[in-house]
Amino acid sequence: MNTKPETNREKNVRIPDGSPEESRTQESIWNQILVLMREFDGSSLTELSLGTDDFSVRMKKESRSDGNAADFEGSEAKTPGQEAFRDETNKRAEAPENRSESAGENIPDREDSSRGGRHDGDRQIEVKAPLAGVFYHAAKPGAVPYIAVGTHLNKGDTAGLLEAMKLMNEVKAPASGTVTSIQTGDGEFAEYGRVLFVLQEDPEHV
Amino acid sequence: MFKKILVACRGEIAMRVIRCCQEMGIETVQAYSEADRGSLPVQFATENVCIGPPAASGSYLNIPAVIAAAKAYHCQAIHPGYGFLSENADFAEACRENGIVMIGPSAEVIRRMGDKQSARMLMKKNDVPVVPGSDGILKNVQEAEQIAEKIGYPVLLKATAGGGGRGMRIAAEASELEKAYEEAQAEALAAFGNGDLYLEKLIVSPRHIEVQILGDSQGHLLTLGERDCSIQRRNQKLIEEAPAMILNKHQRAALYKAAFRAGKAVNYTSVGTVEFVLSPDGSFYFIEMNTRIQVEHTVTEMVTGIDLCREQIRVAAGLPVSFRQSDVVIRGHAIECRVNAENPAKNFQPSPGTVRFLHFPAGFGVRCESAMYNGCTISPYYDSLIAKIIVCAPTRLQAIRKMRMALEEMTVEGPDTNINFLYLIMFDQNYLLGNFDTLFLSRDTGKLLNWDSRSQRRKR
Repeated sequence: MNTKPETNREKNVRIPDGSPEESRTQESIWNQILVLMREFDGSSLTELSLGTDDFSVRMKKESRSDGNAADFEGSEAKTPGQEAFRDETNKRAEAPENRSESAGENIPDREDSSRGGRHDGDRQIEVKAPLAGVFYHAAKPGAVPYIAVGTHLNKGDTAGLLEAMKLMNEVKAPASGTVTSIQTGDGEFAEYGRVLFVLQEDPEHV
Repeated sequence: MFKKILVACRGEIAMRVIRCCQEMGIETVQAYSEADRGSLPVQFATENVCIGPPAASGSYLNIPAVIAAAKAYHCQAIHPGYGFLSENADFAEACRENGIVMIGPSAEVIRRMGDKQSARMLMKKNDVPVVPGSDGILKNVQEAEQIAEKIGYPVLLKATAGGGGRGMRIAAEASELEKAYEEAQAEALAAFGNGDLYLEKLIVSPRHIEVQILGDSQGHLLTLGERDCSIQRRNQKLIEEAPAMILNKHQRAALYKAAFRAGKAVNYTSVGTVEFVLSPDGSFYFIEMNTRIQVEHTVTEMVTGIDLCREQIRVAAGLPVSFRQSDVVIRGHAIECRVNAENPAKNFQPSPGTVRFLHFPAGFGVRCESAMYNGCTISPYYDSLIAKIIVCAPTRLQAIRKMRMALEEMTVEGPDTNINFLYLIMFDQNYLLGNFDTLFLSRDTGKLLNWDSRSQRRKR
């Protein structure tokens, strides 16, 4: 059976240095490090530390929001109940904000998800209803809607209103970007977690 | 009759409501939290709507979300089940303001009975015996002494702003009263900033006896028999039975009359329960009224043949109760065991997780109420009740035998459960003899757990 992905776990490994000749020792260690780098790169580890009396080496990857973790979930998902329970378990171990229930989706509001570097910043963020209510596109009937396809929003801008029992809640853009589609109509009821609109995040300037 | 009802509760009671509605031709919309997405009620209901995150405050207790969902799905009524919003007067009011029927009594009745002191006063006015004590806050220790002399020791001094057993002191006799008064007051002042106390007679070795009532909007009020719910652990009921065999026929009649007066005092509509405490000397006293359908309504259904959930919905729709008081006949004996996902050996620690294998008992006179299914998940966000096993038989001893068989057959693999613990109670001498009060479990749990571990060892 598959085991849980190993994230953020350090392993300390001692390399026995049997050879008495310094150059041979150095070359052998260097080869070993090269092998280790390849192995590490292909593994799900994000950090590795090892050393001897003479030297130590430490390898670290940028943490990722998708990839192995999502694949793992996708292969393990059996019943919706199990999925939900596992999602809840993961949720409690990670940031608990508005997590999607289906496997393989990007998690748009995790602050440590990488931007730039290994990934391009070109992400589609599904902005979901943080509470159950009626979604309104405009501040009041007849007013100019907050968003349309193509609208650019800055992080924190109001993108719409969710109303439950006359209480209005503002839906804010989780990041700066452009609206690519609107999934919930004006005056339509959105259950908790329903996609309201999709935002194409602005690329990061590294 | 309603066309569509929003089910704003979860677990076994949601299944109860959905099944009842389906029988009655009423469509159901299950309102659920993220954690219950894969649950049985969500799959069985006609429609479903996710109203919030796992934490109840954002979902099952979220009044705007529940109302918004009911409106969006065109539900004429909301069934709040038990717990959550079922006894929330603000919720009842919000339903009314939004043109939705809450299946339960009115907001006013809920509010009235929710205030324990005012409920007490109202019962007193209506000739319902209440626990003897002071009428309101004690002015000083002298007043406490006077009242204690009158009602008899032992007495309990309680902080009016108190809770969680704090600001409470027992005085077993007159010489202890002053010290108890001072200590209780000091603790209350320190814990709640309010040193006001009131006095109550301490009922020693109490039994918890409650009476089911049912009222409609046409002024009919019926009593549907009593239940003995004395088997409790930390004030949580574990085993309930109907009828209460401890009562003689005079006590029973007096209880029913008192419960009737209690219901009439508030013109009660819907199903409700009047709770009493029974003293070993045979006197009983009103503690509180529960203005909702209860977990243990099932044992009353078994001995009366009345579908309480159906009556509750009918009454909420404005129909009269479908039978008369003279039609209510108690036959046989019913017992309910609450199966919890917990580990009795580890201080009843809750045990959430995936149910890998599940088998319910069945047979003549065996009834199971649960939302579990093979592979389902028991989440950590809600209480640990996962199933109710109910049996009914002509006599109490036969019912106990039937419950033993049912608990033997009941199989849950995955989370820990209290099934073995319940099973052993069915062999406990005091339980069999009916010698139990509300302290039974706190006294005998250790013995039962020992019994359990010894028998497990012998198996190996």
